[in-house]
Amino acid sequence: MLFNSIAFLLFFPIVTIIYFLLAHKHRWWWLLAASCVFYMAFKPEYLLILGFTIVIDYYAGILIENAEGKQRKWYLVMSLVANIGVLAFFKYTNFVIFALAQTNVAHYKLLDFILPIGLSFHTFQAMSYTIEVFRGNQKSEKHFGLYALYVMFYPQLVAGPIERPQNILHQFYVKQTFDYQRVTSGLKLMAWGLFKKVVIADRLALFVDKVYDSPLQYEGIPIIVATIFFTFQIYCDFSGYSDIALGSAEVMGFKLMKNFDRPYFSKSISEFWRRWHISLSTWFRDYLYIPLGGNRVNVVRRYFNLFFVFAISGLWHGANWNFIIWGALHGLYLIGAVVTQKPRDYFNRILGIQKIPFLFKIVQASTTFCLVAFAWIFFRGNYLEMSQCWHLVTHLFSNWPSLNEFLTFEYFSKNIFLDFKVNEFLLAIALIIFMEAIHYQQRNSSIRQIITNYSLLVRWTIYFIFAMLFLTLGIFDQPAKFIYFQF
Amino acid sequence: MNKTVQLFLIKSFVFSLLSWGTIELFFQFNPFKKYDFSTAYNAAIIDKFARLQSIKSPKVVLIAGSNFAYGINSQMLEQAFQKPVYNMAMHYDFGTQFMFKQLSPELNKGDTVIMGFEYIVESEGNKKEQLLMASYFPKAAEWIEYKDIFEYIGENARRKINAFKINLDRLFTKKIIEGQVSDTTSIFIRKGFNDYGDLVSHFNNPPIRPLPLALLSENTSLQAPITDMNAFYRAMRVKGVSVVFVYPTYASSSFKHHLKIINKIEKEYQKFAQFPVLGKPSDCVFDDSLYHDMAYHLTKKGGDLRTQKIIHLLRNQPNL
Repeated sequence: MLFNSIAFLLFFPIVTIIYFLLAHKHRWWWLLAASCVFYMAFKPEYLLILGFTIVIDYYAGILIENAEGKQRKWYLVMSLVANIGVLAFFKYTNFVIFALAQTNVAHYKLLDFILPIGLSFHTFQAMSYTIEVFRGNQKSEKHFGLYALYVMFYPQLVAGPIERPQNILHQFYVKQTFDYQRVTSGLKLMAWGLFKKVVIADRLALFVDKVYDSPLQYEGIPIIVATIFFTFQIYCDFSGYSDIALGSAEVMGFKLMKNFDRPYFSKSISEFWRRWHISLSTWFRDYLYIPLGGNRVNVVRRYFNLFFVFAISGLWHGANWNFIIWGALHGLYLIGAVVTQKPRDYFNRILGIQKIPFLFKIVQASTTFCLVAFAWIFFRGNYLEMSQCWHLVTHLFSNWPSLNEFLTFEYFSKNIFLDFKVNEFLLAIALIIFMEAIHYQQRNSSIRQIITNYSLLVRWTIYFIFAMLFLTLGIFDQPAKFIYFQF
Repeated sequence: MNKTVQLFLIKSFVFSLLSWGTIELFFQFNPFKKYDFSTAYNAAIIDKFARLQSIKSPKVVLIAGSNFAYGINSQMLEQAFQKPVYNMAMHYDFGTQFMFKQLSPELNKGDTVIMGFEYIVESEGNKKEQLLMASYFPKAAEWIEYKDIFEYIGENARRKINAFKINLDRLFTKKIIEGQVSDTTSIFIRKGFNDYGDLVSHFNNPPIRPLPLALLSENTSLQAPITDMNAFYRAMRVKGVSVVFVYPTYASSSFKHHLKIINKIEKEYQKFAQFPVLGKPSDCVFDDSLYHDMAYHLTKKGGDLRTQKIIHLLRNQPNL
C-alpha cells in the first residue's frame, strides 16, 4: 500500500481509530493484522517470506540468549544465513546469473519473479535484532506477536527507518493514550511528508524523467539541471516517506528514529552520511564498519573498510552495477577527504577563507552538494545501459553555448526549462527554496511547535492554505511509487 | 469517547469539509461549465452519440483513436458501400473497453464495424479522459470500469482536483480561447467534426514540419486490447454485426523507426486475433508530408488516400 494512495487515506484513520478504541492487550494483534494487510496490498504471497524470517529470527533470539560459548555464535550465524539467504536469493540471483553469462561461464535463464517489496529494509531490521541479542544489548523477545510486529510494523515496513530493537520493541509494551498534541503533531509531520512527495518530488520527476528517459538526446546543461533536480527529488521522495512513517507512528504513540537531518546542508561527505538515511548508515557503521576494525586499524585497512562498506551499501540498494558504482564513489569521496585533508587545510590557510566562516561553509556545502549530485547520476541511471549512463557522465560539460546563444529565450527554454513552461520551472525552483527555507528554520525550533503557538484563526488559515497548495500544486495524475520502494 | 477525542474528530471533520468543500464547490458550480460544453473536444460525444443513434441500420461504424478521427473520409466510404457511415473515433486514450461499451448497444443486425486502433491503445484507457467525457455526457459514466472502490474514489477525486486547478488558472489568467473550425490554430474542439464524425478542424491549419517521431515503447504489447476486440467480435457476431480490423496509419519516418516493435505487434494480431485483420501495417503507411502534426494524424489529402486504401481492403473481404 502506498502512503500516497487512496487506500492508505482510508486505511490509516480506520487502523488508528480502532487502535485507540481497543484495550492495550489487544492492540498488538490489531497492529500486526493491519501491517499484514498493508504488506499484502503489494503481493500477498510474499507475506510467507516475511513469516519465514520472522519465525527463524524469533527462535534464534531465544536460542542465542539461552546458549553459551560457540553455540551462541552458531545460532547467530544460522539467523544471518537465513536472512541474507532470502535477500540474496530474491535480490541478487538474477544479477549473478547475468554476470556469469556475460563472462561466458554459464548459459543462463533469468528467474522470473518480482522482488518482494522492502525486502532489504525488513531483512536488515530483523538482522539487527539477532545481532543485538547476541551482543547482549537486547533481551530476546518472548512474545512472538510482538516480535513479528517489530519486523512488520507498517509505518516502517517497506522503506524504513531501519529500526533497532532497543528503540522500538519496548514501546509496544507501553500503553499509549490519545494525546491531542502528539496526534496533531504526527499528522502535521505526515502532511509535510506527503507535501514533499506529491508536490515537490513528483513535480521535479517530470523534469528529471525527460532527460533520463532519453539520455542520449542531451548534453551539458540539461543533464546538469536534471541531475540537480534529481538530487532534490530523491531527497523529497525518501525523506517524505520517512516523515509519513514517523508521523503515522507518532500519531499512535511510537517514536521512530530520525532518518534525515537536512543532508544538503552538510559540509563534508562524512557529515552527509550522518544526515542522510541515518538508519542505514548507522546500521552499516555498527554492524559492518566497526566489526571490520573501523578507524582503529592501519591506514590502508581503513581505506579498504570505507570503500568496502560503501560499495556494499550500494549493493544493498540493488543488484546493479550502477548502485555499486554509486556506493563506491561515496567510499572514494571519503578516502579522498582523508587523503587530501592536509593539503586542503594548507590551501585554505593560504587563501584565508577560514577567516570568513560563512563563505567557507558555503564553499564546503556547495562542494559536498556537487559531489553528492554527481554520484546520483549513477543511482538515477540504474535502469539505463552503462553506455547511456557513461554518456551522461562524460557529457556534463559538453556542448556549452556561446554567451550570445546562452542569453536567448530559446536556449533557456530548451536547455534549462527542458521545454517546460517558464512558470513550471520557476515553481519547481520556488518549491525547493521553500523546502530548504523550512529546513533552515527548523535547525533551531520545530515549525510544528511554532504553528501550535499561534491563535486558532491563524493556525487554521495556515492549514487551509497548506491544504489548498497541496491540492493545487500536487501531481495527482498517477500515484507515483516511492523511489526507495524498489529496495 | 473522551472530550479530547471528540474535539479532535470534530475539528478533523470541519477541516476536511472546508478543504474538500472548496474543491467540490468549484466542481459543482464551475463558472466555465457553459463554455466547456460548447467548446471541449470530449463534449463532441454529445453530438456523435446522438448522430449514431439517429442512423438506421444497416450502417458502417468506425471506431479507433485519433488516427481514424483525422484520417478517414467517411463520405467517400459511404459512396463506395452505399450504406450510411459514421466515424465514432476521437482519442485512443479512452481505451478499448470504454469504446466497446459505448458502441455495443447501438449496433444492430447488418451493421459493420471497422476497428483501427493505434499501436499505443490500451484496454483500460485513461480514466481522466473518460471522466472528462462523462462530465459533459453523463451516460459515459456507464462505460467506465473501475478496478475497485479505491480507483473509483481516487479517479473521481483527481478529476475534481484537476478541474479546480484548471478553473483557478482560467480565473486568474483569463485564458479563454473560443476555437473555431475556420481558424488556423484550433483542432480539438467540439465543433471540429463534420456530419460524418470526421475531424475537419485541422484542414486549414498549417502542418508541423519536420513531423515529430511517434513514441512507441519497446515493451508495447496489445494482448489486452486484442482480448477486448475478440470479446467484442464474438458478441457482435451473435448479434449479426460484422467486425473487421485495419491497421492504423503511421508516418513513414516513425514506421521505419519502430519497424521491429510494429512487427511484434503484427505477430500478436496474427496469433491472438479471432476477427478478420485486413492487410498489413505497411498498407496504411504514407510519406511524412501527408501528416498534419504527428505520425497518426493525416492531412485531408492523406485521409482521402487512406480511405481509398481501406475501401480496397474491404472490397477484397467476401463477407462484407
